[in-house]
Amino acid sequence: MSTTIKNIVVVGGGTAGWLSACILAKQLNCSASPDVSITLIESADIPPIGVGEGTVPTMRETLQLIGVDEADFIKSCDVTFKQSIQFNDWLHAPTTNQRHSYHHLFNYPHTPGFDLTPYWLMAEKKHSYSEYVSFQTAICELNLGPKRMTDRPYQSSLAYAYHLDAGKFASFLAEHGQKSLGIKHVFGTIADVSLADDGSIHTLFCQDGRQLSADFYVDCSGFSARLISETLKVKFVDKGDQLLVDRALALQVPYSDSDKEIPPFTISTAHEAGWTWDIGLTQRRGVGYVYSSSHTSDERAEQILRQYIGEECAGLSVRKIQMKIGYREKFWHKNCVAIGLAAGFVEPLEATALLTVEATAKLLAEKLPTNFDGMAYAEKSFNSISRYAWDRVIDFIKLHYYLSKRTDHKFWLDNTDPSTAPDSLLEKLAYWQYNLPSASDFASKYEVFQLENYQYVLYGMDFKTQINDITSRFPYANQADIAANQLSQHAKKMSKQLQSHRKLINNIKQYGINKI
Amino acid sequence: MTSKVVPLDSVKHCDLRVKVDRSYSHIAQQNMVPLMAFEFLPASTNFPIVFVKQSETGKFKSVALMGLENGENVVFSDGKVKTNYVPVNIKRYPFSAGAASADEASMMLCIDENSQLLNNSEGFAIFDEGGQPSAETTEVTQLLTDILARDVASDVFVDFLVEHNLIEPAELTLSLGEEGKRKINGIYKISEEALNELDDDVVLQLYHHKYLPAIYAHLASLGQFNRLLQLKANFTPS
Ligand SMILES: Cc1cc2nc3c(=O)[nH]c(=O)nc-3n(C[C@H](O)[C@H](O)[C@H](O)COP(=O)(O)OP(=O)(O)OC[C@H]3O[C@@H](n4cnc5c(N)ncnc54)[C@H](O)[C@@H]3O)c2cc1C
Repeated sequence: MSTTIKNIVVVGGGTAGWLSACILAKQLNCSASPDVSITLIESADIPPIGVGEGTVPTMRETLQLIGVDEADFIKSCDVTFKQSIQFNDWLHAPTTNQRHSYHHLFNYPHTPGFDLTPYWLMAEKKHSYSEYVSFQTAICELNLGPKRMTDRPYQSSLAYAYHLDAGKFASFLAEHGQKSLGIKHVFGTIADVSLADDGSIHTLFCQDGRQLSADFYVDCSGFSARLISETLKVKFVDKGDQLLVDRALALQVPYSDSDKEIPPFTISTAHEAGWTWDIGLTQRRGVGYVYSSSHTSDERAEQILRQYIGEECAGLSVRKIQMKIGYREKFWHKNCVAIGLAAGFVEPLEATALLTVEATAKLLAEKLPTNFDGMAYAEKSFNSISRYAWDRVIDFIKLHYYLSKRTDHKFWLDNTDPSTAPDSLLEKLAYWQYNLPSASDFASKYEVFQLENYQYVLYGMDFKTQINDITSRFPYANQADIAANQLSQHAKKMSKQLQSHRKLINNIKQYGINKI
Repeated sequence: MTSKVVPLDSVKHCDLRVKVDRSYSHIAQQNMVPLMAFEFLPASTNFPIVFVKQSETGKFKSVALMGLENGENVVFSDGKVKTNYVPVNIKRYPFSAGAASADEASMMLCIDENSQLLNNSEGFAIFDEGGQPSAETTEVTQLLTDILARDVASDVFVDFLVEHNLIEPAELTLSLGEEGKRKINGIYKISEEALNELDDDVVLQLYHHKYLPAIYAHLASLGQFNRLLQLKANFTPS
């Protein structure tokens, strides 16, 4: 039998590095196994990217898995709650008296034993899709928090994720990982890497002369992809022809009024050549414009961003970030796996980056072979699952653009040109023109975005599934009416039990969260 | 009517009188009332004493349970009082104690302006002709000052229980005759199992803090769920 895999080095101390290290340490039970070790090395000279403030509900499971105290996390990372992404002006360019807006909620559409979608399609349009199928729309619009003070940590009848300060989150995980999970931490900038005869990584050489070797390496070195690209020469699959944005300008905007209500959702607003994110944390907003450099200039982009924010950004300087859109041809090569920006990036529209980090690190923990004999199979299986997952994420992101009816800029014309859309998406959209999307269209459990996510975006964006010829297949119109009524009653009831978002955060800071 | 609790004001409230209502009908639509630790013993033979989470803070508070549904009180109803112990938090009404400042030691007497007990002709006067608190008011002030300290002590008691992992969800299924069985959520009790496994030094602390009577009174009071069920069986909502 060949050598057992016991020592792992994680390169990079951004959120990807610390999240991966924590997940691995937990799953491999590091703190209780003296011969298994995880060491995280990061460069003191190369700062983490420092953006990435939106998460999705899997973050709750991940934090719970690695043993984080929810109230501590909320206090330490300026956390607010996220129940949805609100998409503004994605369907039409705004006019003075009309703006389009829809929610992609985290609560899945209510299903009273059957799918409400066809009944919404057949109904006289009084409600938006998300209002019709979920009471969470009302909760969001009222700026209410997603849980009651009597709910236990991580629990609620409403699905939620978090907005967080990326820098503080990495530090928080660093402390937790070292204190509770037995992760070792060293500073060092990797200057050189030596390979073994079989092409796998042998030793990392730091600028200060130190050396580090391990059985297995996790590359979380950000866009520099120090191991997977620079050393192992794994190629990058560019997806810039499908997802056209490649630059971001980011700003942190302090609140002028510290009691101002905080929206419990991310606000994503489409503009002429991209879109802005707007995330309310406890002390400030994080705002940024993501755009396509081949469709607009940096100057124009900054103008758009400043116009969007208004007076509050006077005197604040913007940060420019270049984005490489696409992913590695292989995520796992020999004894190295890339996670985070080193593995790839598909623009921040649905906050998929951290989600992918969580999913990939969990998959790695599951697939990490006992010894080197298992390596080839693990690599192959991991790569095919991961690539499939990345491609499906790209489909979903592209969907947001592709359904737009905006014609105000070449950016939108290009984005809605079928030649920029993946075939896998076009094929589904063609089918859904006359057929309702169903769970079987998303058969793999490694697809992060499922039927429900598609329903919110498709029908939020006015996608017309033509079911006029088959209405007889949908005999539950009365029951659907009753369900829709019950939902609006439930929204009223819940809105009385829930506190305002800011009040909830303040109360959690003051009283913690009762664990019993 | 919702209550409107304001600090007592010798000018604004100079002519007010308080009707004495020994049936405590103000509580008839409320199924629980905060109960302080020192009251557990006398209360325990009358109603279940449990812990509930407060909606504002999520923290536990001990309460006397007097009904099995929201808005139902089977102990104080129809103008009758079916208990031999009336919790201080019922007796004090329409008065209450507000903390005068961040320094919680000084007490400010408050009153529920919307109370049906307040009027200009019946009952005792809140202020005498000279504008000074009447004898009854002085008595209430004394009672409430006393409560304030005991309420804090009660919270310390609950914190002690939480800190030593003694509180657990009470899983209760009640048989409600024709209505069938119903699960009651959101109430908590002391875990006998955890209690029996406490380290000696913690047990000693319980003894020295005089927490043991309250703990066993609470456990014994859980038998009173049956009494609530019996009362409910011959209960007509008021
Ligand atoms: C504009 C923008 C918006 C985003 N918004 C979101 C969002 O809303 N939600 C979301 O989930 N994600 C978002 N992301 C993505 C998210 O920021 C990243 O996925 C996340 O921060 C993880 O980054 P990372 O840890 O992979 O890389 P980085 O944060 O760049 O960390 C790299 C680490 O590697 C170390 N390192 C690099 N080279 C070396 C070397 N030679 N030797 C030693 N150490 C080295 C550095 O010191 C650093 O610690 C966004 C990204 C961008 C660009």
